[in-house]
Amino acid sequence: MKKSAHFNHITKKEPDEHSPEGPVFVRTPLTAGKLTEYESELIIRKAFEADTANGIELLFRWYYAALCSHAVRYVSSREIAEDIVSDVFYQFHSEEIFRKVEISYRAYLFTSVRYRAFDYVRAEMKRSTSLQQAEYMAIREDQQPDSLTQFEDLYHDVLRAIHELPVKRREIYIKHRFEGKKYQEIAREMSLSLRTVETHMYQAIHQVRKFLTDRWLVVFLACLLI
Amino acid sequence: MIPEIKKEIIFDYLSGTATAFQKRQIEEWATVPENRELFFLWLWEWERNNSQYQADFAAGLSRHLERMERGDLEKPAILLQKERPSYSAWLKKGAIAASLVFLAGLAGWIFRDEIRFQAYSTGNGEIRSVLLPDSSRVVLNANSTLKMPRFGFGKDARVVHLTGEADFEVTSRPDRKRFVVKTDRKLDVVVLGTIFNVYARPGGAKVVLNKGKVQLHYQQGNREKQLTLQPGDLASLDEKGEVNVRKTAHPAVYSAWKFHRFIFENTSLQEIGKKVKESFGVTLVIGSPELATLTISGAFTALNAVELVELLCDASGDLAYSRAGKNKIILTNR
Repeated sequence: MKKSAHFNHITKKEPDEHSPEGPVFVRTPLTAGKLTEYESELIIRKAFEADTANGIELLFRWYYAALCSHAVRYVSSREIAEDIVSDVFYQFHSEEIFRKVEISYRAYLFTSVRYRAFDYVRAEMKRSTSLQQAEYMAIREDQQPDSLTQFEDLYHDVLRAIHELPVKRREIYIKHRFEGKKYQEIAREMSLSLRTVETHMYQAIHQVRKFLTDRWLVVFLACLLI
Repeated sequence: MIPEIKKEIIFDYLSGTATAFQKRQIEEWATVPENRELFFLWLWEWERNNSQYQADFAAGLSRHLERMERGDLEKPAILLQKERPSYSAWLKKGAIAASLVFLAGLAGWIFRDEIRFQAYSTGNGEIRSVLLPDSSRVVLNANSTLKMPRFGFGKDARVVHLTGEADFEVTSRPDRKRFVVKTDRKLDVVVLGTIFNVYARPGGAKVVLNKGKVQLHYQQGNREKQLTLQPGDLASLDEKGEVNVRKTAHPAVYSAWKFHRFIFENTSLQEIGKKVKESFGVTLVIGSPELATLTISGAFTALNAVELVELLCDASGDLAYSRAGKNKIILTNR
């Protein structure tokens, strides 16, 4: 099962007649493949069986930061990313989804965060398009993007949209949305007037939305109308 | 034909440097459920190595707990669509009422048991020796209960009931009355005079025979089954109700707990956590995923959970622990 080549022995003598070799600690890297994929999930499931609160804490310790880091790629705002992740955990816990899911908790949490992030971008974009009269419909399973690659395509495009901004505007955009800084702070840091920062932000948001809308409107429309 | 995809390709893909052809292949590959699981395992690893920022999990967790406390009043942090009315509050009230009625009934049942049986129990970290009327000796491990009838013990057979773990030293009697250990695990041990260890906790059941002869009675499906153990035999009952027997060279290892000793042999932290929970009622949290595959071998003497964890940390060199409240210890990488 385990590959001995990956073993890393840490041995230390302990004066103990019952174990002549002393304690032995053996470690295999977590990323070694399917065995550990199964094991890490098993540990969390066992924790949930014993005590839900502990299971939840374990999920936060292991996945929270990674989930936030993933969500922020779509929404480019820490606050919104953390809101999305918080909502996913809240639903997972309050509706006791952990009792029902058949895929791994990890797959469930990442998938939920991706769908919610996707929905968020879609809703944001709708605000800035001429399709405002189109009613926002309740999201149904069959209206979701059907392929994995659409998620990656979307956040790569978000990144590209930000990269397309002029240097100064991009810096302001990242400071405000990503680092969560206030306009005042940014103005002080960059020796700009408050008014200039505001204008740059307005332009930046508009530009990013326009970039995404041009590339994604068809996809989002398809999602809405199917 | 489902293509095979290596981790490196997925990492390229996540970073946005995969070719259009590779993307098509990944799409196909990801239609298989196991591959999807693998994808999320790798996505997790990739996010940890290429994180956009380090979100504070402790802040996230305390926010989550506050939200859970507010319960039904809590609204989603992000609102994209209109909310539907919720009936879950009414359902919850009904459930509470129902469970109160159920608890009242249950209490009556438990009380009946109190009258008929004498019980000996141990708490966290407690080990207790009990001398039975027939001068057999039972040593109870932590968080275990031994029950024996108040009236008529040894009249027909000497019957005791065990939950948890105990070591038995059973006297043999001239009338050869049987000594029976009943467990909740559909496993009974029938003895004639012997030294043995019985483990019957929610996770499973085990019997280790040191000396003498015992018979196991257990149920497989609807059928009663019997099995005779020889000294040095370790019989364990799995979750399907099947009994496996193997030889152990050191049956005394399984009674080491009598002297507050913990003996591990390629034992994972998860199993050690289970032991710590059983013995001391303390929860061991495996704080970082890297520790999931750590296994430990060695013997440690400890009177409480912190002592044991401290020994483990001292011996391993790269294991650290912190306490969180009275009944929780968190293990992390040093």
